[in-house]
Amino acid sequence: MGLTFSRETETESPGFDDEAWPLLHELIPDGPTIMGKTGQKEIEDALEALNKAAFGP
Amino acid sequence: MSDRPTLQDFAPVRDNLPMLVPPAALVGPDVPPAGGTAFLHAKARPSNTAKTAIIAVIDHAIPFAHPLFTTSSGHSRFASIWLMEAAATERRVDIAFGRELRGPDIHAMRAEGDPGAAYRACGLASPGRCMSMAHADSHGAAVAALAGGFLPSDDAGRQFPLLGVSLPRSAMAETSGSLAAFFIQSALVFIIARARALAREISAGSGKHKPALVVNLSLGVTAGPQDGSGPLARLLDDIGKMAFPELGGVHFVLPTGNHRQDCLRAHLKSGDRIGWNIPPADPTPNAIEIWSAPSEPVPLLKIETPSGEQLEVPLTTSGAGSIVEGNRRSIGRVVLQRRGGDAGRICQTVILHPTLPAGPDAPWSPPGLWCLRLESAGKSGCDLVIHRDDRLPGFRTQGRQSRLVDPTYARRTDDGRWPGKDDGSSMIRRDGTVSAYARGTRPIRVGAGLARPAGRISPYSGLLPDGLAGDVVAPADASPSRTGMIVPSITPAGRQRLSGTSLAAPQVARWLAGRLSAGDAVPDRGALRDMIKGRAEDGTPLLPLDRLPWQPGLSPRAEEDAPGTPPSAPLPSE
Repeated sequence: MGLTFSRETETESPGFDDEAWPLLHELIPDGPTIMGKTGQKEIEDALEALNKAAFGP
Repeated sequence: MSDRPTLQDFAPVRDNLPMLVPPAALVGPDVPPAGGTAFLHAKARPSNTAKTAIIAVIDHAIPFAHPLFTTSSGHSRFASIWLMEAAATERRVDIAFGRELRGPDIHAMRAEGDPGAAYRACGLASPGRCMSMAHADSHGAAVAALAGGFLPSDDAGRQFPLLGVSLPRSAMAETSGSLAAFFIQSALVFIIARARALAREISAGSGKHKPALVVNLSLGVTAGPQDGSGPLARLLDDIGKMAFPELGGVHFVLPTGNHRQDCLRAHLKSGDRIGWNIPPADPTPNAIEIWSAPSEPVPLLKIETPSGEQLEVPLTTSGAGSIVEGNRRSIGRVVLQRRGGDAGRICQTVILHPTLPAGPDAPWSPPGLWCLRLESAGKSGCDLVIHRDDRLPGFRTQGRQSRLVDPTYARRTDDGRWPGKDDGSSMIRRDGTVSAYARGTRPIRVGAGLARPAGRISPYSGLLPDGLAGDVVAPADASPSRTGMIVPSITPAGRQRLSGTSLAAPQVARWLAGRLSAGDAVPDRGALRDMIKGRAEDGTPLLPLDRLPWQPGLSPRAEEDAPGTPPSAPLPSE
């Protein structure tokens, strides 16, 4: 018995990982997303439009 | 602005929205476009645009049709609210899901004698789909009422137009904040966009007055970088520094959090060992972050299960791996990252699978007393902080909070009180238990206090790293033995009793909006501290209880019924 460590990734990244959210891996399943590419694009476009409305001239 | 966090950081959440919002909230191809609607009816606009401040609330289940947010003419003071769970029955170019309502829309939806009509019309009280507004009580009702609720008969309310974002239930239920960050960041961007447009509408034809914007965010998380380098903390700082041509400044007000006594934070030196109590029947993962000091080496961590099996985590560079039992079953993961701003800090996150697995093939970990030992670490040691994993009132069973165990830690003082700031006698820390969202340089951090004895800090109220209760303290509990205060609920005549720094923050937001509308300058936290004369027991500025449109139950009844205080009769329903 006993515990072992199974290495999954080793990025050896010299930079920062601020954008990574380790718990998301547990909360949202891997693999294909539920939403199709079309739906993804519409949401991205809307969020980008909102960003422009907030921070644009 | 190049380092402003973007919504791309949360792509896994964005790309799985159908899991997180009701199906009806997704904008389908056949949804018709929304008409051009003004933000406020003419009778709900500020009567004096020179003395106006916009109040924004980001929360869950905000009762936007409540009389406290309505003028004497019956028009809504909410200029705009983004209902992230509402049925998407109209399309706006910058609303990705859910629905935005503006003041005239809310007015049109309200029905005399039926306070729930507007919520049902938005699909927010729909059995089998979304029941967020079908309950009597909600966190958002309390927070919004404290921040911007006025009696309809009080014309002063018109000087404080409201903006809101009602977050989805899924984001609130998962209390670590991993899912909520996407929705909160979207909400902040929405508030800025609409505040600018509202300011243009208000000032049209009445000169060039620039209303200030006060944003209340009564949400918090425990884990994350303590130096303000987390994505949301950076975004708040970034926006707070910006100058918008339409606005007279943007101010954020956040609670310090309610986790001072929960044993979620500790500091370990090389060679130290601490217990980690993992509760049974927990359907959610438990996670802890181990942070090194800036520029110090990767600490060597040993993990021990309740049955005594041990593992030294072999990660030495950024990466991840599984903790595997002898029978090749994964019981958890470890992720090593470089995070924490320019100086760079190593963060190892240990994630244990739920102790109550979702199904027969789902991974799980054993409950009980796990141990973490720092085999080696830099000379400064490491900070340990457990991710929040509890259950909010009114939400179905979610997480069960794990905690750290140090036999030398006393949870009560010798005289039976809850302890205040650290005395250095234990690895477990109370200093630094402030929410990670509030660790930037700009937001005003608000702790909770007792009404009696006045100036005492509420025992749960999170502390800044220096042990102070915040930039300001506001009352949220009647006394040590009578916790909480009375606040409005979703239904017009309803009341609920709630406690926490979530209720202290909107009182400061309300006060701050009043001062800004009167022309006072509050450029930073220091200026705010100077403006408040009262002091709490630790020297933190103490905000006196403002007159509210209801009796909050913080003072003896005789005082609340004294001449000059509002009547105790229920609010007008419709």
